[in-house]
Amino acid sequence: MSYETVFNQKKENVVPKKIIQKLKEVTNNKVSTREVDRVTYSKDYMPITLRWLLDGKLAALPDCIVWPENTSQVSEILKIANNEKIPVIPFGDGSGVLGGAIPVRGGIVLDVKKMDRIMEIDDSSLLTTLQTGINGMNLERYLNQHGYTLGHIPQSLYCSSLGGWVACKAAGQFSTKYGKIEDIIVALEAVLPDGSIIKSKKVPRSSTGPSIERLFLGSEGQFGIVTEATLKIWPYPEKRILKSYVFSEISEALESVRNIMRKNVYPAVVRIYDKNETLRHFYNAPDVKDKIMLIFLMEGDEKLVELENNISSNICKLNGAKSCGEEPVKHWLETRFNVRESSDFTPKGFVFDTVETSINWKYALEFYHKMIESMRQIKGVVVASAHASHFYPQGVCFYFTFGGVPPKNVEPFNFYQSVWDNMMKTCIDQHGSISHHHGIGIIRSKWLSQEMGNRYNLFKKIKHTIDPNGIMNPGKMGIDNED
Amino acid sequence: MKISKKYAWVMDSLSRSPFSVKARAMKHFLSSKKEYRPKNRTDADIESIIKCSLCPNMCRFDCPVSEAEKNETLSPSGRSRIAYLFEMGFLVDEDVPDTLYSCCNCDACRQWCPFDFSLGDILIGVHRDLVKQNNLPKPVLELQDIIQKKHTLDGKSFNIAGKHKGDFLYFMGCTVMAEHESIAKAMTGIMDKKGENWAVLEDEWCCGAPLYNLGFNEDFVKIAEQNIQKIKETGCKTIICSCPTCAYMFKEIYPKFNLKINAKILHASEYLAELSDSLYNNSEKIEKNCVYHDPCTLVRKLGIAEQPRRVLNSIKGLTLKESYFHGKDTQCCGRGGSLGKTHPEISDKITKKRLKELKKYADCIITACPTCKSAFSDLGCEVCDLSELIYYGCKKDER
Repeated sequence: MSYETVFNQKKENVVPKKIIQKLKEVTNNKVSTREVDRVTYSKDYMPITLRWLLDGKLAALPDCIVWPENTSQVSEILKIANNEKIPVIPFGDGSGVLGGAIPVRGGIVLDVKKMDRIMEIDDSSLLTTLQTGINGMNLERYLNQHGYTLGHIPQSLYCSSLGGWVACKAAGQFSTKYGKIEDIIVALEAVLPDGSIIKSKKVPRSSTGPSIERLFLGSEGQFGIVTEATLKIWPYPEKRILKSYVFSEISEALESVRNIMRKNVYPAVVRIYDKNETLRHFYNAPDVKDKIMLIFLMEGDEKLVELENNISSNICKLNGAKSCGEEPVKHWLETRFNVRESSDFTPKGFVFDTVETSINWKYALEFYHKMIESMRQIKGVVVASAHASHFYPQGVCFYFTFGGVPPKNVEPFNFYQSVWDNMMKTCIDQHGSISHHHGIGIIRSKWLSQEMGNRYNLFKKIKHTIDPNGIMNPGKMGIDNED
Repeated sequence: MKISKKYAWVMDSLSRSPFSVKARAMKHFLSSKKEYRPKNRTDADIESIIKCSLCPNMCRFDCPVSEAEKNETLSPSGRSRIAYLFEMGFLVDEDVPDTLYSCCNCDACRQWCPFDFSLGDILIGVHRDLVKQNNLPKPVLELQDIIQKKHTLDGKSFNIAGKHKGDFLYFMGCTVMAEHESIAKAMTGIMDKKGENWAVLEDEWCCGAPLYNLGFNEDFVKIAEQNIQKIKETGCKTIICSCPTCAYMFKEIYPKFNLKINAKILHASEYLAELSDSLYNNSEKIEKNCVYHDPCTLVRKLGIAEQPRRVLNSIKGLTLKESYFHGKDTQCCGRGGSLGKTHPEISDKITKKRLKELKKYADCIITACPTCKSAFSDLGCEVCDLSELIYYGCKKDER
């Protein structure tokens, strides 16, 4: 008995030996064709791959893995791959949940983890420049050690890399104050598929034609590999205030936050949990059954933080809130990185996933209800819940969770896709964007053209101009779907 | 069936589901224990391996092996995935055993694990299965061979002059016997100063930790039984270990095998912390900046962080610097879990990284583990065991 592969069936390495040798020459021998390595690089964290793993199925095997240590090595690798038309799949910490790092066509997995140097902290300009293979927590700990924070704290902080954040256009839990990765990144260096290197200036802004480098944000490895980035940093905040409130209905909590945003007040963390998720995350808090929990974490200058607290508190009370104090926020801070549901429920036959979306306030409430309904419409769904965790004066990000057991005679992947399809269709029909910060990968590929409309053709044209041989991360974002 | 409050949200959702879905979900819940298990009986803790392998690697950033190699295969969940595929018979590959032995057993992962797992612990059962299959990397076999034949980790030992019966048994540990006679002299010298009725074993053997970790269960039990007998013969009431791993094995692992030691077990730092201040007051003033390196086993497995600091803070003239990564946030010296023997290249990378971090704070490193001392001093660093610092006052020429 041996494992099976889902997306590509080949098990033998097909990159010719002479190419492997060339790759070794340009990377100081940092190339592997070992089976154990090809097996571990066969997947990222797309939830259905967990179920496959238990069944002895791997998503797709790469032919080899390379670990460059600097930009010039990345450039040499891409030149070789481009000449030979071999797929290249960029790989950071592999925490993506849409399958964006799965080598569906085999080829070379280019792991950037060895590129994790922090080159500079510029205190006067509040900037740091670093290689993109750095792990999120290692970066944040380094900054904290020197009195700063990045303010980009995704739940995947411990298991994701800067390169992954840029590739998937990530957002962190503190994003309402500090912004998303596109607000945090100031400049970048990237290697194009032909090996050429582009680099932008580390200036606050410039009116010098289109910001071409910004094409790389959210490009999921389609245009090349981002090797360096310059990011904004902040002095570590002097004061933190933690506050929580419960409401009877989600509409009241949403209305409170909408009004707080209209006042131009941006608490670092704002999270609204629907009734099921309030029970899930705050089961120890008193009187939360059938309630909506709203938590705030405000940080920064003491006087400003107190002002933010006063304004938000008044607005919440006007909307029927009952104060719950600091405890629920402390509990959230303590447990926010406890990712255990996938380990607990996958072996019990549960199929689950999370779907993050973006919607304007005008449609927000109806959107929430329709999306919950769209999950429940699929037979076998047990859990259908949501929280809202990133806010703007214009709208909100809803983060939905579904979980269930496939009905008899329905393959887990078919069940999984049915829920996704129904949610994506509902999202587009209800004026939402199909992804707020996880990206497209494999799972959302077929919905991207509808989401983008006419822009999608332009995206494809740009892709074919930059990557005429289609070597960069093929089989993703619907660009060259063979099926 | 008692359902934890933690899962009230699932029960709440289930209660709203149609009967057919409810029935199917309950069936999955109840039958899940039988699924995803190897066909043949194994020693592996497969339930923990599954949970670890399904995690997105939330501890990866703090795993010294993963950080040194930057290879998914050697990430904590990566190794668990390989272990699962191997145990289930899905993956048979010559590189599997080597992969599954590449752990420094430092427990850094436990700090971040919602299940309180340590990869080192959950791989022990897999190691036992590899031993049963005789599917072992060469360095592992060599290590087993040397401990079996010579009864110590390095095959080296020395006998320190002393009685073989007494109230306090000083247990040196393999690394002291092989490389740091000065630690043994310092410890026994301190006990002499204190006027203790101390003893050493006539022929000290390894505590058995490497055999236990590498999966040689039977060999471990044999050596442990021998140790129990020898310790009993000394009539000691307290055992003082220079090596945190020996103390941990005696305290926590021996009892799991019904091997009980009828004596109080102390790590040297605990003993030193209880000494009267007069011992330090009479010692020479040490004008020095030092940084204390918390050994993984001492701080994470035995929970000892305060005692060594109490000792250091009572030494006149000594300025104690703390690394950003101290206490339970310490970083492995690279030699934990026999990694120095089984994977010397990875081990060296980890040592260099830790040394670079410690050197930011002071040139002189103090530790309380002979293995950590070896790791750092082999790279030319000035490093002192806590006992040496007290006894010799950091004078190199007397050591």
